[in-house]
Amino acid sequence: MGVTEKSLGVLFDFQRFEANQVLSRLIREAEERYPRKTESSGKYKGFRIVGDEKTMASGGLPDGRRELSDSEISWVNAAGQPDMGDKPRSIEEQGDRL
Amino acid sequence: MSDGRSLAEVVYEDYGDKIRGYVHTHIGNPEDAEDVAASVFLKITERSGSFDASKSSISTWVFTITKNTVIDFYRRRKVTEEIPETMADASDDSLEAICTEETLKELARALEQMPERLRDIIIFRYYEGMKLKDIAVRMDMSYANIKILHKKALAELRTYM
Repeated sequence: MGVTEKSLGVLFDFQRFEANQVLSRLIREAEERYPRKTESSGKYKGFRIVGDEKTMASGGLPDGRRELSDSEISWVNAAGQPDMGDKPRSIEEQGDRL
Repeated sequence: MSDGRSLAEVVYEDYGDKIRGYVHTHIGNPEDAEDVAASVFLKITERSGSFDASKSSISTWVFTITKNTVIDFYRRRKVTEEIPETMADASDDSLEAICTEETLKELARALEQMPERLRDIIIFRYYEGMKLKDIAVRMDMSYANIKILHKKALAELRTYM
């Protein structure tokens, strides 16, 4: 057949119509292996660290950081300390630096 | 038809869910999707007299009418930028001809034989219509790596199809 990129696009569009069972299973398996990230890049954005669903479900980011809560983020902003480091500290712990 | 049903009846009963499913996949607004699906059924009824079984299967014929109706919907709304690139130009008969159940089976067989990682790239690129840079993020790989693997995936697929 000599498949081309365009013909692949057409065929997969036809799959949305015809729903071949084997293809449906392969598609489902791919989506389970790599679920869509909640944000497209998964990169660090300001103070909110967003990871993919698999990583977050396992309890955190690979390097031990976790996503900050809204109150922690606003506290950080108020404290003027953009670099929180790996672990957010309580107000009590930060007391001498305010 | 050999079972006594008219072509329109066959389409409505055997392809109704597929038509609605496909339309709803491409058109987010449920009311618009229902209108478009209704247009598809109307066109099929109007054109059933001109269907030529020697030229295409019922499935391909119905799919083509459905797809073109969806494209017309976007063109009427003058939002052509929303037409997915996976929807081929309506006038491209050579591409229309490959849309058969048999070709889908061939694609399924080919993908099953491929390494998982290469298969997933093909699925994300051509089924989900993702850009390679977004696939790289999703699969947690570098963009450069994904580009190489994508080329490799296409080359491997071409050995089967």
